[in-house]
Amino acid sequence: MGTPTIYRIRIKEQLAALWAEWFDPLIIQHEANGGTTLLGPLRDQAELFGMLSKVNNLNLTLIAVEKIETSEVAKGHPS
Amino acid sequence: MPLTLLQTKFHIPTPLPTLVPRPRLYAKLNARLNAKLTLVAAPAGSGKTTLICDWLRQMARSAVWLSLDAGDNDLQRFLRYLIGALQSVQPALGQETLPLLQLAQSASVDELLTPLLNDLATLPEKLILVLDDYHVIEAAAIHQALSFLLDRLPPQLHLVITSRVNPPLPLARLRGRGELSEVRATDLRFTSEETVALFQHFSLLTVSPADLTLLNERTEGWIVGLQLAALSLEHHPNVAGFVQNFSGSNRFVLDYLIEEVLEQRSTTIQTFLLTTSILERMCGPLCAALLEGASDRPAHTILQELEQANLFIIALDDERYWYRYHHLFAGMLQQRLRQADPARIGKLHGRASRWFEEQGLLEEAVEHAQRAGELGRVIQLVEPEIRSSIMRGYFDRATRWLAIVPPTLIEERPRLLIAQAWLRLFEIPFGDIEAALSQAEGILGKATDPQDSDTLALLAEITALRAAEAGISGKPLALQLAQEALRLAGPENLFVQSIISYALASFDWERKQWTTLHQTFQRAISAAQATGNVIIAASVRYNFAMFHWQRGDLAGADRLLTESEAFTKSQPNRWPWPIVDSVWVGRARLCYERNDLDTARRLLQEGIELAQRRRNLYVIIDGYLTLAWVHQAQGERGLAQAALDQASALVSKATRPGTPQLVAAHQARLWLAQGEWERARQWAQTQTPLANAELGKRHPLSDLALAAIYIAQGPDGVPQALALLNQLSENASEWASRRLQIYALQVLAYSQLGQATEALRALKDTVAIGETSGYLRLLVDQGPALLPLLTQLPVTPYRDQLLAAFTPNDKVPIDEPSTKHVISNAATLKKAGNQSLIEPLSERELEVLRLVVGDASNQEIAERLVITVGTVKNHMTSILGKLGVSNRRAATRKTAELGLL
Repeated sequence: MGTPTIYRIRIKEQLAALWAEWFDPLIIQHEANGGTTLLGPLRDQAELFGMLSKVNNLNLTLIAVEKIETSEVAKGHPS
Repeated sequence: MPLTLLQTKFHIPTPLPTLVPRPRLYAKLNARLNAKLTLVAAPAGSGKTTLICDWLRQMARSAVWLSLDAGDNDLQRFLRYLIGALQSVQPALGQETLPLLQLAQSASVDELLTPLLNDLATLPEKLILVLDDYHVIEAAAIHQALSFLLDRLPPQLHLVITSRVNPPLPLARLRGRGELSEVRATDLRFTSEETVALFQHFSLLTVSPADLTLLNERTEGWIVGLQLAALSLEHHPNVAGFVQNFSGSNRFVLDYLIEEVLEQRSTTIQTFLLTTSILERMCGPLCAALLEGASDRPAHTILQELEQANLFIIALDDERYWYRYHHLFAGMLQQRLRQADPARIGKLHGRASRWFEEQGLLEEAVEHAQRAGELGRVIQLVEPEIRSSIMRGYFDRATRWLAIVPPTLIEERPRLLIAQAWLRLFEIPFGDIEAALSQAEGILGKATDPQDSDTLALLAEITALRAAEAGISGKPLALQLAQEALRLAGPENLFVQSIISYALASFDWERKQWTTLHQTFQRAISAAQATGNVIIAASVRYNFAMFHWQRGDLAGADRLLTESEAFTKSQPNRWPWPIVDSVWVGRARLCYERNDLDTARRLLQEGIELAQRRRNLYVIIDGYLTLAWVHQAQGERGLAQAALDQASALVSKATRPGTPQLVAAHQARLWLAQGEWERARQWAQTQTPLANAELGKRHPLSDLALAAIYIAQGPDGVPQALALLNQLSENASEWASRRLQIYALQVLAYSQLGQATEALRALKDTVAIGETSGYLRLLVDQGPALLPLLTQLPVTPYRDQLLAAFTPNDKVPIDEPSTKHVISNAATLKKAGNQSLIEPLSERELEVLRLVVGDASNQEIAERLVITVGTVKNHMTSILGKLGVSNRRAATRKTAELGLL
């Protein structure tokens, strides 16, 4: 098993914290501009697309998907 | 009568009278009905399903609906439902395709779908086919199949697909050709006018236009959002305040509104919604089972209330018995439930599972048990049913169930292991079953009570499976295993009996217990039918049919094959197919036998192709051998040899004993028939003469071929041939087909030697067998030299059929060394034919007759024969009397019939 990759998924809407479990293992961060970022480790492409599917199923608007380099994570992750 | 759960998939959802008519969208849809595909692609909650339903209600055109869900991700199942949906308008549709579905894994898309497309092309009226929620489909095979269908879609059919995402179909290509019509999110958004109409429907007349605009902007015209807003406002005292807060907030629309809407409902309703949110489809009794009395009024009343209140619930039938939630709404509810009380979800699934089990709806019961995490219950539900599911051909179901149970658990359950073995045995080509069987055996061996009847029955089944595998592979071990299995099973175990005869029947025929075998077959068939074992029943019938064929009962064989085909076609799953290739080849043999060459050819072409796909080696070989003779009979020598070459090529793969000799013997006979003397002779030389005692070691067909070759060599070869034939006939008392060939060759042998009486006797014996059993070509194929001899026989319909079966192609090849002998001996036999009149004609009379047939007058005859006209007249009277006719013309006819000249 390879190491998981960190992804950042940006959506337009503001999601309530109660969705945290729905998008587990990604965490929910509210952006200043009113949108939401989902951030966290996903094992493979299948998991990534599964997550994107959940976004689609809620009729949320997908803005961006990025792969995060580890150095950046160390800087930006709010845990 | 409420619909079954399955039927709800085909039912066009019937929302209550249209909330908001959308004429501009109906017009858009109508405008492009001439395209192949209308794609409605938009996110959840955009109103796709509602739009299409409302649109269809406006239409004069017939429509067929298929609601898809995640379980439909199997090509076989998808197509089965697709055909099921289409059959509601055209019941005969898909008859050819359904049975092919079992071959879905090995067949090409072309093979699977062309029959369906042909059926669709015969649709008398235009039809719309709707595939709802296509985004749940992920299987590449299904996308491929649908692309294929779209490519060749007949003009009467218009496809509508609703999906949350663009499906992976060749949309760009369709778009480029003007064959695609699209309705997208922007189209579906409510305009301000439509928002006004919606709110009017909710009687929210106090909402100002400005507020409506704000709401429209905030939700971006998203229908679910607007509907939730309307629902909230229904009970909200301060409309303007609500709109203000709502518009001012950034919160995800759904979050905001769902909470509002839910909180406004009574506790009963809230509980109801959350509890039932786990259900894909629900009805009153099912909901009640989940609620367990936690409501003050009947569940079905609540469902109808929800529908009236526009709370995102959709009726699935006209009686308003079955419902489902809007997927998005259900998703939200489930999310809340998970938040509030996660442990409850498992329990609810458990209750649902039990309810479905009580209703006998096994698939749903298993699914809910799985979601409840109750693996023990899954096993409990699945174990008693899985074997019969397999035997009825529901492979996808059995496979799915086995996939649910973790492998470590399967390893502990003999019934599941045995089920795995069955599935592997029915694979194409069949897989390894020993590992699973040994494991099962091991577990059963440790049972506390080894004499327990269930344990014994399972052990018997394991042995029977091994026997079946050995039988299919043609291993002699099959016999032993079969007997062992029967011993373990006992006389009451019909299931094992039916498998055993399947095992034994794949095997060679050289056994003596004919009556018991006959009885075993009968028992096996009734057992298999009684236990619903479609596959076994068909297989046993086929082998029984071949048994009849060999014993000279062609009519019986035909009857069995027809029964086989009819029985399997009558099964709901219509899964006949380990057998249909052999049924077709079997039928082809019978048709060939009756000289119905065109039908035989057609059946063979299809049967061989099917057998090739299933890699059913022995059926392929049988098929090619028969095809070779069909071609030969139709005068196509090259094709005949080509077919035989195909059979020969497969011999190396055949482990069944006797196969190489069988094919070689046929090749030798074909060489003889085509005049390839050298080759035939060379082959004969490779067949070293065997002592009497070793006779049984050579394949009987090899012996017959040898005899035929010796005879063809001329009078010198005949003694050897006769010796061989005599030996063969000692062992052939049961085999009508073999006896016929022996006698026929004896005819040829005796006529070579000029022994007319023996030849005629043998000929009569031959024809006697042929007539009672119906063999035709078997006789004809023994050699064209039989033709002149057959004309000596009394006229019967059978004889005429035989004569008709000889064609101009059956001219005896000129350079056959023995031709002269045969023809000259035909003269001898003509005399023999003359003997068949009660009083034979004298030589003089024959001379007169010859001239009469040549149309000579009495005067001319008298001159020719140098006798008086009076004498001629006397002769004529005598001739007519002996022939039993009253005039010259009849005499001429009779002469021809009897072959007197």
